Amino acid sequence: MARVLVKFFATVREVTGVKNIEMDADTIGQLLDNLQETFGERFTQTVIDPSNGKLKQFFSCMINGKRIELLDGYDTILVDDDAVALFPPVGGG
Amino acid sequence: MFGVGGEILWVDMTKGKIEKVPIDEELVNKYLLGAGYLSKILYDMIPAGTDPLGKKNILGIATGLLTGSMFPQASRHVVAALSPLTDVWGESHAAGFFGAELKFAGYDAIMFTGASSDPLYLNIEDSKVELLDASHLWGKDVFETDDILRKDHDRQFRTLSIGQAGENLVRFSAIMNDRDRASARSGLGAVMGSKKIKAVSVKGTGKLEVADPKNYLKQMDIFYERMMANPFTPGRVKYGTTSLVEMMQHIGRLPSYNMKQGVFDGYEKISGEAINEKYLVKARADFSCLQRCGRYTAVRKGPYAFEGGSPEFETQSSMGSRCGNDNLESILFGHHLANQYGMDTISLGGTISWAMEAWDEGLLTAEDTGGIDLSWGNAETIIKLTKMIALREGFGDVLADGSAAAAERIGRGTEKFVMTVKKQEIAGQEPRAQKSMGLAAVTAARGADHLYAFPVLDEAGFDKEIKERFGEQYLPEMADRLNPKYKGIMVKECEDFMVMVESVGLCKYGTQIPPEFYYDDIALTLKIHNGLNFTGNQLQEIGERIVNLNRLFNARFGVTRKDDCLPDRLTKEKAPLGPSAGEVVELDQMLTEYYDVRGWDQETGLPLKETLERLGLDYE
Repeated sequence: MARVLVKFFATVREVTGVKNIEMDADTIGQLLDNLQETFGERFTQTVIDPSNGKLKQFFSCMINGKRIELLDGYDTILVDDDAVALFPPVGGG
Repeated sequence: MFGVGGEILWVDMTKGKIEKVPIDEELVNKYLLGAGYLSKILYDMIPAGTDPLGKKNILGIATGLLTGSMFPQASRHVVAALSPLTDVWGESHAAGFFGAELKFAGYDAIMFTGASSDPLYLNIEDSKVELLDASHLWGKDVFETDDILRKDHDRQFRTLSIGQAGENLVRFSAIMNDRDRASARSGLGAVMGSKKIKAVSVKGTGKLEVADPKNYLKQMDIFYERMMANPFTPGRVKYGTTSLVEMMQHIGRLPSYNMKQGVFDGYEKISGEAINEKYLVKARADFSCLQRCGRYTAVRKGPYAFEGGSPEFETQSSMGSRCGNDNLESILFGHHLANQYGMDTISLGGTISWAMEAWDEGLLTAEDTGGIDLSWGNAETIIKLTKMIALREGFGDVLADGSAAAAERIGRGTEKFVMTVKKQEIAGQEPRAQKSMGLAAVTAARGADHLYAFPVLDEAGFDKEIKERFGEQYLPEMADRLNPKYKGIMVKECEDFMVMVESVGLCKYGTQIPPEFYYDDIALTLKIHNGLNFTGNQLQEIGERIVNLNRLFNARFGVTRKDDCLPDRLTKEKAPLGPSAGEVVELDQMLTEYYDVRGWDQETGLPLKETLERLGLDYE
């Protein structure tokens, strides 16, 4: 398993109550499962779409600045020291 | 026509004459209102060789066809003229309440020609329109001007004005409205100053008659529900655009140290979280606005104490990371000062950061600056220079013409630190981390600009919208911010859509990001609100026509492909740090694709004859 740093922002941070956490996981899918377990129902309700168990529309999950959709999605393999960021819908300029 | 004021005010500042002219419906059919309408009028009336600060320049202020309606975020007005910063097409937009009020008074636009020798302001109270003496207002800042005008007339008036920066012809001065809403880019405050127009005050008690009231109310309810249910809306209300700092840091797109890099160590100190934690007073909404990204903030004590409008992401970046400044209170206060004096914070921060890099490289010294220390992150200097630029005092006078002009004056190799396109400072999108933004900055009609196209579809995961708007064959490349492929196609499509949006008076929030409303929604509303029959395809063609007309305007002032370029730093030097390290902007590749889909000549970058004929445009 890889040890990664997960950072939370804006409304996601409000439900985790912490800015970041170190966590062990093999893939992004597994990491999201672990996060739900750690932070409980409120985290799940905020971040996860109950119809498919994936991130809600427009929530961004990035590994080292790259959106998971442009990697291998939820199957993306994590390696030690990856920086994972979890954002609610945000964008623009 | 329904849903409009019905008349254009033509104000001859030389003769002091005001004429009311009915809106030209034929022009509306080809260009809509707002940005499109002004594009056509100014193209027809501003010849080559015009001095932007001379009597022959024309300043237009226009509402859109939906400004003042119940469509979400229908608050916008546009100002346009030949720009004194870029010497090409100048255009800027703002929200607030001024545009809607102007329409309620019965006017869709104001066109200022000539120049007065004495300061005047235009006062509009429904059918009563008069030019009044403004000598008691000249020298006052934007807030004082608003206070005096609303005291002299009544509190219901809405004002648009320039501060000292516009009076002093600072080439990136803004036209402000509703105190702290800014038409900031292109330096059009200086055009207003050159004509000695201090302000426009307006009160409108009229009504907008809509074409199909029953369906209009029903449809606006549906749009209201859609906007409120959009996943972006809660975050916009809570953070405005301020939380973009964190996001941009994480993709390496936060311009820092004069765009040397796209990451900033002090980003958390200037973030949206930091503003909300200590300084946020409340969110604010403009006319018909459901996104409510405006906000009020306050610093309660110390040298930077104030209460007023709050910076958005652009100012956090331009007066913060771009200058290496992590002192949040100075950013909040600097933004407040820029509003007070009436200046564009993007060009202000961009110009100061140019000077800071030149200082850091030893090319500017205390002898040049009058003893001011321009070290990175010196918050005191940033505040001091903000005042000095507005008042054109000392070294501030050198910076008041923008970084390109300042570098030309100083020389000594400082030119290579100028981060502009067509002499306008590049906004807060480090383009090595989002290639579409690099292309958009060079193709925008008003010089460096993220908003003319606002190509955000590759930024936050809009794969579904890309599939719907363009087709699945463009994925995944178009959605990848680091891949230059298909960005020419994307920027072209976004430009056509955005200039159309700016011609109906809507905000880019709600149309482009989040991409909730698209052509068909706007076509439907133009039918039930204005009684105009356009298809979505026709609206797209109007957008394309406006973009081409803006290009023809610029061609008149010498613009060709050679001017569509970025600073070498962004195309030749690899981003040194962060998630986009190693990247450069592959501009030529994207530009070639863009000209191709635009129907523009690859060598000159100008519209081909057949393109103009297809769009029904005359050409010289």
